Amino acid sequence: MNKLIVASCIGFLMFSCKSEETDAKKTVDIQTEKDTVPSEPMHEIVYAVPSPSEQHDLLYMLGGEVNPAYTNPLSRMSEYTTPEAKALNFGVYLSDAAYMMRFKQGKKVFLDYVSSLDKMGNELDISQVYGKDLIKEVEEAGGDAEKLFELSSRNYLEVFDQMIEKDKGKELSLILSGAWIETMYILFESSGKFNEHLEIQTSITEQRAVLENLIAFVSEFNEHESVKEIQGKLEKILAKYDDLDCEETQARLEDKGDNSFVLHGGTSCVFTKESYKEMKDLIRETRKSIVL
Amino acid sequence: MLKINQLFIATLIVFTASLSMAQCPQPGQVLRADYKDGWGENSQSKTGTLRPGDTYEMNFIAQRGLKYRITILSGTGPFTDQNVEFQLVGSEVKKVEQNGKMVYKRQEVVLYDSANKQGDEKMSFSSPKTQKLTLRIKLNGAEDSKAVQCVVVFVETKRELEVGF
Repeated sequence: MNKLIVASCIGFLMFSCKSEETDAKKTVDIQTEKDTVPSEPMHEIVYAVPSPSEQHDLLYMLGGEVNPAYTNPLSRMSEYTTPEAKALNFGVYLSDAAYMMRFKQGKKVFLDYVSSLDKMGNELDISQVYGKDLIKEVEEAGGDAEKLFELSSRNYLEVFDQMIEKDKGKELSLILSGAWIETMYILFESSGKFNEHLEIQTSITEQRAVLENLIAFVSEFNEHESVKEIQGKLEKILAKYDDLDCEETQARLEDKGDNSFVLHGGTSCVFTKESYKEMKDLIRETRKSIVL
Repeated sequence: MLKINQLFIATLIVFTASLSMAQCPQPGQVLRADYKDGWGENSQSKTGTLRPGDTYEMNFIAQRGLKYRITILSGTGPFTDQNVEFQLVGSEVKKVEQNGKMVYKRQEVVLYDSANKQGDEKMSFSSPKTQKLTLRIKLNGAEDSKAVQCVVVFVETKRELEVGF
């Protein structure tokens, strides 16, 4: 039983982002002494954010077009020398790889990302994700664009799992933040001028929900200066969402039978010309501070 | 029942290895997405630990254009859906009275409660808009109230709409 408690508490440390009745230190105590297991019910709250693959998939469905110029050139990788810059830009490149694979840029492009991310990942203690097995799978996928995208998506999950297993909340916070900012940058660049690509601009307004969860996640690790810094940048972007025109409709679940439902209602927002420009400029500026 | 037995077999092998590693396994190590039917594992799947009586809330994002399918299991091995209940919770802004004044406040709305459903069907839903939702999970009572269990929140997605909708 003790083993189980220790096992579970390791899991708790790794997965929980917010606890209303315990904090990380208390959890460590639980690992060492069974008697300190709290008798009061606990209420754990965790936050999840969609992967860059899932978000670029939406861009793809909305009719976005690929432009490799929106990505950060892999040749810049050597310029990121600090662990923080590496983690942030690892996220940037994860998003770029997902974007390029969603838009069917082929095996060679993916292999370029695989070899570069393998090198960067080793420096961040993310190993065996971008190794020989993956290269073999990419080779086997050949020209199958959907398979390559699936491999790209799966690798994101493996990177995420490795960071969780190694209890690297700080690095994961930076990676997720870098990935989200790069995704937003690509969305804004793809959306053109104000009102040019309305569907994509609507999807940008909906990113507020993702950003709120991301901030909640990183705030658990903001005792690290670099995380605190990126959290500040994310909060600045979140504040810009207050300038949007929004309306709310009642949430309800429509039963379609077979335990299948359609969720109606929620918040709908639109940009004004000014709020669109301001947020786009802020995303560009924030991204520039990361990719240099 | 057959479905549950299959689930037990599928999860038992992975779980045995996972317990020896002394931590809860990742969702993808416990369940495999139904790729044949077009589902894939969503990156927001999670595992955590819970005791009977505790609640575990997972805040996640349901993106428009995608269909989501939720499977929640618990246990110390093998995993089962028998002892776990969950609610899908959204929110809406309502006009409420506060200190004698009418104010607009965001309040939660329970959209789905597994306790009110029969059978072991997986719950699936789609949303025309991207929404922030919460899965609130609770373990039913067990013999040892201090027994910590792993909870697996497995989220699968597939495209609801094709390119160019």
